[in-house]
Amino acid sequence: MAFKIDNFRHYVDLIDDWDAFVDACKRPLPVVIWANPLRREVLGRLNHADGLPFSIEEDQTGGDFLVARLRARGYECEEVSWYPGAYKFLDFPKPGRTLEHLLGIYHVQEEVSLIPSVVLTPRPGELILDMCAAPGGKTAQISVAMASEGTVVANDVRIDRLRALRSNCERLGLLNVAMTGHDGTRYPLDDGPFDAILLDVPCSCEGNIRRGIGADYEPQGTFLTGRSGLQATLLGRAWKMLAPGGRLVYSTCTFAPEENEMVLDYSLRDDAHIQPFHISGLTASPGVTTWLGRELRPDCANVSRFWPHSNDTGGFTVALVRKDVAN
Amino acid sequence: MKHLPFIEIDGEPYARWWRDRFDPVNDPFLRMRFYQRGRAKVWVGTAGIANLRSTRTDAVGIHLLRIGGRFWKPTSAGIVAFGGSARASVIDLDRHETVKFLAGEDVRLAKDDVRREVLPRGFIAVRYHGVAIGCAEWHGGEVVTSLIPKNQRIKKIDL
Repeated sequence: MAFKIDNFRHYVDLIDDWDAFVDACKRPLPVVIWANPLRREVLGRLNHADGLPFSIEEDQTGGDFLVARLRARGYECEEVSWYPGAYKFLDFPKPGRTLEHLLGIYHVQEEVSLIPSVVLTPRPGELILDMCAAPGGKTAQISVAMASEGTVVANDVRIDRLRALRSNCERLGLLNVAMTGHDGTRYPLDDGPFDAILLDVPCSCEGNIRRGIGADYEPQGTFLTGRSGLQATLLGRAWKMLAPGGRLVYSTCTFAPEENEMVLDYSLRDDAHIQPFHISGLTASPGVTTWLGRELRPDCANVSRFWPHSNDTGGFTVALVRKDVAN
Repeated sequence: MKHLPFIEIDGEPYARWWRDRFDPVNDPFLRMRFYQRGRAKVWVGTAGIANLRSTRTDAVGIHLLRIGGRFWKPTSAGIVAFGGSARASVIDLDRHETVKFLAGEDVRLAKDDVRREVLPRGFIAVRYHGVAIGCAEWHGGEVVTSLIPKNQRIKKIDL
């Protein structure tokens, strides 16, 4: 779909630099990969055989040695400053067709979509739900951050997407992931409560504009149309399964407040607190607290919006919500 | 689609079979849990599944073995994850052979190929540069059959 800037015209007041935004949307996205620490040993053996650096003790993520390997084949890259072991490439035409990819030594994932799992701060031993998990990049980040201790339940309602999830989890050698195929809106409550939940909901994908996938979002003008209803139902269900004191990350790859702040405002009650977070090296804009003439929860200001021009990435909106400890 | 529940099982028989078949340098299943779904599939991982009472569980950890047939069959994913230090039932391929193997094509073993001498028949681990890359089948003839799953085969892989 062709780039239609008019689809975004109504966000003009939310964007600090409209021209920079338009400019960024027209540039192609770099390819971003992150090195999988679970496969460091495999990487070490390959490098050893090829006469490249291989002592894995010196390289926590395996990233440096992976880069040495890919550079030797002519793929130049630079570090993603805020994410250890992640790199961006301007010219890496088929990153899914290398032996390293097949062996799960790295995963290809857009830079902004690395954010939600980081904000979730998974800890070893926890029980974590990734409610709309496929194709599994964020699941993998969570599993790796937990050092395979504890359990990640990765759910997706669509069979074809579940298959992609499973193939990525197996390829990356994730040991602590259980995959389920529930409709998230009716997820069995018995399976919880979860210490943390990642809710990366289906959305209108406006933030993917630079991938050449145009947004299918048309400005609606009224709340709870389009995907907002589904998003609100998913959030309501997830909230019921979250343990007291637990944390939930709600994220979309879209700009529309109708799918972000308004969903949070509609679904969350007094036991929920949207919390600020900061990732050093990334520029975020605050969330909106009024939209379409509606006053939203004041803590919606703590939502982080990552516009394409702020960090030269795709677009993403992320909220960290904490649940009250039970009385 | 039929949904069968996953249950956690005692993995020792499967770990023992794996050790007998591949003679790994270290026990690759230390601190691992084993799971079974239906009669034919064994999975391995570290996830706790006691909470997952529903039958809509699709996978847990890594699918390791099929035990439904006359011979137990290791999966390619299982070999990549747990077959790295195999000393038996393993064949090392060169670059050219690896490209063919990963594309799902047969690899030819000449009659006088020394690799045949120590290779048992049946399901074998395949290695390139000392790294396990998948499962193959060999019955003593000239052909080593690639068992890389169809959806994971890559033509002309970038090595």
